[in-house]
Amino acid sequence: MKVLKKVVSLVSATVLTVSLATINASAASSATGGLDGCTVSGSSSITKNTAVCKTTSCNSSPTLEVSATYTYYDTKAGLVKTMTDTTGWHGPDVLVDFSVEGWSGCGSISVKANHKASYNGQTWTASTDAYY
Amino acid sequence: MNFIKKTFLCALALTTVLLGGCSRETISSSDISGENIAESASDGQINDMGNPVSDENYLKWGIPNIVLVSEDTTEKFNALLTEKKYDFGVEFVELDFSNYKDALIAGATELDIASTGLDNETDISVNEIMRSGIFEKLDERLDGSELYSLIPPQLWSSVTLDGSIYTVPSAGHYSEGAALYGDGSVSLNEGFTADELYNALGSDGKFLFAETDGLVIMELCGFEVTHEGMLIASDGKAISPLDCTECVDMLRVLNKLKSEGRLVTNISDGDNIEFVLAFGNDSTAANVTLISVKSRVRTIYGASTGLLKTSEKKDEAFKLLEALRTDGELANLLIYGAGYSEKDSTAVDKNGAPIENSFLNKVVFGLNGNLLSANDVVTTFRTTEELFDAYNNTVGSSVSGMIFDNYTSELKQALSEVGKLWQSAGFETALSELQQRLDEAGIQKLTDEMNKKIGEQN
Repeated sequence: MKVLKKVVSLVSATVLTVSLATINASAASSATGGLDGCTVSGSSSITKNTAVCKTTSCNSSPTLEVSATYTYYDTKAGLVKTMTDTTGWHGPDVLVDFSVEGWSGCGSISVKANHKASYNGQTWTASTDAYY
Repeated sequence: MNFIKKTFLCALALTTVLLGGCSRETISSSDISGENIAESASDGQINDMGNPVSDENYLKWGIPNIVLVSEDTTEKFNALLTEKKYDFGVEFVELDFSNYKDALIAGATELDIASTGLDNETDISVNEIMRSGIFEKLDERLDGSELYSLIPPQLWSSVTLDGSIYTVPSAGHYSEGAALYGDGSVSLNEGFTADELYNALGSDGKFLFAETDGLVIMELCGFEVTHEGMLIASDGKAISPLDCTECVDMLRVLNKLKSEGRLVTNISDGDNIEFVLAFGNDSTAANVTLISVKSRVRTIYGASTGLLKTSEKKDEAFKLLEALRTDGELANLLIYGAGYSEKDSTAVDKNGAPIENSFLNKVVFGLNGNLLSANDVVTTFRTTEELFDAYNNTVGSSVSGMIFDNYTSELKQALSEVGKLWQSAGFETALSELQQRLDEAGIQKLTDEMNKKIGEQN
């Protein structure tokens, strides 16, 4: 039987990473780092017909970005389809979300996100993804 | 098994397949883990007839690695096969979903059964797989077979290629036909124009359009929308959607409604919903059916399943595909997994909740006619009779059984964006750019080829 897949993120802090942790949860993944004492994190989660990708920080000072690609299957068309979205702003969090809820015969396959946080000349980046 | 491990094992398995020297023990992820199947296979299972299931009698079934069959499920599935006196078992070989065509073609000689993978908006890899010659022609085997009788003829038509059948179609693609519902205050008739739709909405009426694909509405306007994203007009001629005035006008009106905040994808309190476009019955906002069309069965080679031409176990493989459609116990186990149980004719998980994550299994294994219900996104049929009844209320495609040489990946990508034009911030610019892309990708050649083949068929 299909297993809810969990994916560890590739994480890099281009300047400084104080801490790093990766959490595996059901149909979700996350990555955590630090920028000059401020904890930042990124996460992706997915359900039957929705997905959310988020970048968060300890306060509103860091500049945050998240860009994500959501892949779903349209059983009416017999096609794998994708949606992409990007957003960026100051903390404490930014997110993109996708939904095919209510769309006949459409269901999630995966979501993949790139996260970025910048603060005091330091940059943290991470990737997360989740499979349904 | 976590995904990292799966991914690693898939990569390892694929590498081995590509090297072309793998044995059963190295090709299967479960074998690599050294657990379950490999051990039971090596030991040999004994069926009720006293016949051992030897290593040689394990069928290798290639599937995209987004569909995971757990070791536990595989083990139980094989035990069930043995219990039911089949003298073979099965191994699921997970192939890289993102590079499925190359993985399948490279590993074809090591497999007995394989999925064609999932078709997508960006390339023509499934068509290339069908054209690659790796699949056995099934016409003779299907003739008079139980397997043929268990799948609606409309579905067999959907995988016909040059007059022959190479793969067993997926029954996981069924959807009800599109319909336009109203609140009873206004009416529209089939063949309505974009202006008529706009005017009927009045100054503040809203249109609930929970679809990304704007072309869907063209089916209600008297056109066929093909799997390629082309239109077939009422005179039977293929036409590019952007060469169709009615279609462009409709996309433009949808875009205008969106910019006015009157094309909504969900209902908010106080919305004055005049029309709803939906598939099948929709009672969420409006309940008068204005126009409905039958579900169209298009050519879809994606998610179909074939026997590999080089396999020495085609008889067993065919028998397995047949068994999955005659034996609900086997089918439910493969779709819902080892942990499922039945509650009120529904497949539930260990917590008693209806299973939600089964739709990709239904699509890829193609099973949908002998299953328990679930809470996934696929319309499930409890019996084969229900499946046939549903398909008896469908219409076929004018281009069934055809692959077009001029349907390139570039054209496929561009055509897939036509239906999304209504979402564009700058509609006219996006329209012009997309028309240019279609022209450069050779839309006229595709149109000519389609019309030539349609003409030859008629």
